[in-house]
Amino acid sequence: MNCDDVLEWVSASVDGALTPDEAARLQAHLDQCPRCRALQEQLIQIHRACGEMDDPPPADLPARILARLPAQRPAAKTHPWRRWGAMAAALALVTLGAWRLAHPLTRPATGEAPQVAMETTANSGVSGGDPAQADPAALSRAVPTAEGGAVTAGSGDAATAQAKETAQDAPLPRPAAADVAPAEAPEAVVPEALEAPVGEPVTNGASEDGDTDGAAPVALFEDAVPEGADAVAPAGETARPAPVADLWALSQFRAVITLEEGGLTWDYPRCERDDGETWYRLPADALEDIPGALGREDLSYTLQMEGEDLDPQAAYVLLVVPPAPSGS
Amino acid sequence: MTEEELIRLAAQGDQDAFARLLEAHQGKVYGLTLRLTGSPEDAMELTQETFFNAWRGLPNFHAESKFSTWLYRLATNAAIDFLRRERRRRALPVVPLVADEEDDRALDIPDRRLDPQGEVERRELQAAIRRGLERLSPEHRQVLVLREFTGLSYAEIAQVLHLEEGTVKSRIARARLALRKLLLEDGNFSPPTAST
Repeated sequence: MNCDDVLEWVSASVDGALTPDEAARLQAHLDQCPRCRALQEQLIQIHRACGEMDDPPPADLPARILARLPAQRPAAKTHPWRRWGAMAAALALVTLGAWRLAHPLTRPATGEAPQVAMETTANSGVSGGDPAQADPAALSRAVPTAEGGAVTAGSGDAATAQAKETAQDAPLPRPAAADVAPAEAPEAVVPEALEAPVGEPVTNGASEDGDTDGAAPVALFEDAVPEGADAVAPAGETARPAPVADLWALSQFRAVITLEEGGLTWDYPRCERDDGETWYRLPADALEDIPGALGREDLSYTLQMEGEDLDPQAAYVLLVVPPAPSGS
Repeated sequence: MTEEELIRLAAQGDQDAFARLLEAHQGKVYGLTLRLTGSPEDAMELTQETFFNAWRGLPNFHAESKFSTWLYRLATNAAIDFLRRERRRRALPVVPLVADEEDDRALDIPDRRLDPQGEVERRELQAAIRRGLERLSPEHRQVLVLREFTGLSYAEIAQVLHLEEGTVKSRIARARLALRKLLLEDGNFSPPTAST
């Protein structure tokens, strides 16, 4: 056996993790090899030094942790909308920016005042999805009591909620007062990348990322009368505007992103595109959570709004997130 | 009350039960995040984040692993995510070894004649290890910290990191080698004379 073969065994010997046979064979090598003996001694020294290092946490750490726990499991609470102007973090949305220009928001679809595009509350038309996977409770707790918001129920876009939770209905993070399922925070819906979800309740809405990079604006859509619910617009094509309904169609959103805020969890539909983009349907003020939640500090957005009737606090957006830069 | 009982109660919202779980495990979680980040402030934040996530995720913890293993996984993930963001934000190049201020107290021309037990040397080595850990890659740092500072077995580490045990074993070996190299370069770690 040469020294490279033996390296793992030397290391394992420090941990007492060798079989008797391995130990014997290692010893035979060490007997002949001063270099490996020296290596073993050094690794043992490091191991011992580590074992002696003791940095206990500050005495008030438990209290600090307990103070931050929500008083009880997520329950019916008003969604604490964050201050609009505090969004400093940014996410680039090239696709939507171009599309928005082609469809000015001030053009009402139905003759009513321009409203923020909202989707289908299709509670009635629900998905018979796969009951084993869908977790209606997760979304239905978000059924809103429209807080004076310009939230339009769109069409009955009967989303076929196939895989996960989506479609059921508006993932509107404004829970009806009584209507809340006690949070079985549906772990199943958290994409792997978010195993440790954003845990820090933002109390003052200030983003810490501070990159204001006036990149392409996030579009706010008005919901035209939906045409074909299931057609999926090819993503990433900035030149060709897709029908609103296609972009909004809940059927495309086969997963959710779960965001944590103020001790409550919110599930928003998410759609992985073939070209690597990911789309989300979110209230606009949840946008600032996304970079942190995704671990994508490279993203930036600027949110611009048009039309004086639009209420920022009622605004929803279709968020397109490009794939992460490679090599990160 | 067994830990299982505490977990069950805490999962239903009992903060007192959670507080007891917290007490039992916060030291290890703090130690882990401290060794991973090298910073007590960051370790505090990450420990809080870990337990916040644990509180939130408890209803979905069904004892597929030990509770501590699950906690360590939360902690490791939080720390590694944090480190990745920090790296990107600071665009760290390879950092030349510079002694931390607080470690210097042990380094002022120690008179080893007055220190027969090698206390000074030990502290120097510990300081050098702290510095060295920060220079390891996140993958090496993770496995090594889990092995050296939480006492987890290879199998348990494999569970925490979702790796094969063989991978854990070889990664620990390479991490040790890398750390040793840094210590040798640091000059604080003198290669012992080869003994028979």
